[in-house]
Amino acid sequence: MTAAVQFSTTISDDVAIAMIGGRLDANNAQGVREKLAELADQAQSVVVDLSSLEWIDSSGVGALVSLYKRVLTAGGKVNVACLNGQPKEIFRLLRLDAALRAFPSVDEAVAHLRADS
Amino acid sequence: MGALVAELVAVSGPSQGKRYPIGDECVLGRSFNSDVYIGDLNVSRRHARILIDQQKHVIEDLGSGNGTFVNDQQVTRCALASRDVIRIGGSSFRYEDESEEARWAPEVQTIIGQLMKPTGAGFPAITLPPSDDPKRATTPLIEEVTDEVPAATAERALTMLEAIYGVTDAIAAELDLESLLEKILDHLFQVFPQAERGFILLVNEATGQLVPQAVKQRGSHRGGLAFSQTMVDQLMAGGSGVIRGQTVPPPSTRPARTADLSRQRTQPSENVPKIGVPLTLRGASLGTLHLEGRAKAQPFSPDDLALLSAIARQAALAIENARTGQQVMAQQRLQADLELARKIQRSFLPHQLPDVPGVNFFTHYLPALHVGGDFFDIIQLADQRIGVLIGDISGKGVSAALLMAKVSTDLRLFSRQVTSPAEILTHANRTLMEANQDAMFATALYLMIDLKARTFAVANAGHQPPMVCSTRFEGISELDVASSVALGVVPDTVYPQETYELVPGDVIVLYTDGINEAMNRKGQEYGMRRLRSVLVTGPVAPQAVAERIIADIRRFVGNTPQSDDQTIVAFGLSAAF
Repeated sequence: MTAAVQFSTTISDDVAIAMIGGRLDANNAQGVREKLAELADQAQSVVVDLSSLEWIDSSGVGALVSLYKRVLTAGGKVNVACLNGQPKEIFRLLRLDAALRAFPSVDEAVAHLRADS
Repeated sequence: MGALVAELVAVSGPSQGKRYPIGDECVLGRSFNSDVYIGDLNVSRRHARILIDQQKHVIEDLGSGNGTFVNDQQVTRCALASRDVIRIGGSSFRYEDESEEARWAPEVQTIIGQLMKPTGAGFPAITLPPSDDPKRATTPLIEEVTDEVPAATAERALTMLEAIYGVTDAIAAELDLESLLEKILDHLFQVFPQAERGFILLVNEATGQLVPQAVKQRGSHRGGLAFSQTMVDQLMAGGSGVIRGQTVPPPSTRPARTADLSRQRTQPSENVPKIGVPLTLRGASLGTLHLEGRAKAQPFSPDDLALLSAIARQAALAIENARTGQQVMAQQRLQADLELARKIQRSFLPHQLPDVPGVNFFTHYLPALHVGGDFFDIIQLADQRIGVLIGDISGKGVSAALLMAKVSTDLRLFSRQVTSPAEILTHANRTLMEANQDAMFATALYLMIDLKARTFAVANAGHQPPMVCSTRFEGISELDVASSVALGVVPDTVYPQETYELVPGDVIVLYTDGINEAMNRKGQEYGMRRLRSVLVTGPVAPQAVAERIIADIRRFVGNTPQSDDQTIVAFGLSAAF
């Protein structure tokens, strides 16, 4: 219940990779949103690695939506990688694939970003 | 030997902080034309003078009423050495011979003192690594207070205590963090006349980052507001106070004072004396506090560090108090904010259901304490059509409530202009995109009942698909409505739409995720499986179906506080239709 969110980032060339793990909810979504915004300013496109994300609520989705809008405005793209469990269900319900394309691995998500650009 | 370059620094009294260059002769007194004017009735008009004798500065008492003291010894005439303290009436001045300072100031000096622990008498103690410099080693440190206190130590201790009390008194009651930090720096500038710039950095509670919160610089002097990152890192890492010294060129190559000021900006930071302490409270690091002096000025002393550490303890406490106070105020503001949000939200939800012949509606709306973003509406339209809307705005509080109000108003308006649910959602998506609240989005399902045709058309923007309870088949079915992305995420989204037959005896149940995600004490979700099973059997009337769900959820969650709004809209053709 109280497991916190984990967040880390790496930037390789033009693609930034954000790892979000644990629980992304109303308690930490604002902080994550700000960090994602900083990241969006540093790279053209972003891959969000959700392999260790266990739970997400609407505020958490809001943080990702915010990232998507920011990157889109700047002409970039956001792909997500390794969706599973509850977050996968939420993504399916909200049809977020229209905004954030999901890939089974970070490598594929990155490769598709590069191929598209 | 070069010319004698010396200054008097007022360390206490009405002129505290002022520096007086000493030329060949200077007079100290209460007379306005004194070189060092002291506005104190205990001081004679011409009290004392300093002159040069055998290439040294000498102080002479000019027959004053209350005497002249050097290092607490009354003198009539006395040669001055650097760092001697001259006391006249209630004022003290430190004599600084810069050539002498330069001789024993090591190249770059770093003194790291352990963070002070209060001793029994409440005086700060400081421990320092041993020094090779004989003069440095004899500098009296306040280590502990015994019954027999040397007069000089006692006075220094008293000065320190006064400074500590002064700061504590000024900051204890300050609950506004910004003004508090400003006051702390103001006082530190009074206590440390040589401080030119002061910085307070605090750890941001949300992000864990160290952020500059207050900066002060003396006078109009501009040295830029950049601070030493090395200093801050050292303070955060070491948990102890730090003094950094200076490099002083030999006196003969010393540039003139005016040139000094103009060159200051380009001085390497080693030339700037610095003193800093971490701000800690109950073992937790709140941030750092540090001061920087003028480039090439005399370094801060271990006594200064002891004093700054003592003040920092009080400052940390006051900062914590201010933060707690602000949290309480923020809490109160949040409460008011939620109250407003609740009012806005309620005012935009239907107060009364339309009385439509032929269709039975039942709605259940149970808002969570912290205001979720559920919305719903039933809109009676021309040509025996009825619009049914349900949705959920992400986010909480006033901004979410206002956006929900806007979206539901727009949807109601569009309902009268276009007949297709898909188009209505397209409009709503545009409204939300234009609202430009980047982290906000809404799920929504729009269902248009056509009583003439006995059909309903549905379009879905990322919302839970409706359930159908029927006597025609065993169990329940979920309307497999094609859905597109939630509102407010992707511009110009096109929503698919499907039309279903409305069969008498069927009950269509629309709901929000507050239903299937209702949580019990153990943190378990009510879930879709329970929701389906409770719908399987029993009476088939919109109200009865909804009430079965509500009762089952109540049993499941017990008295666990509700974390999200719960909304159900159920409807079916009435038997008579």
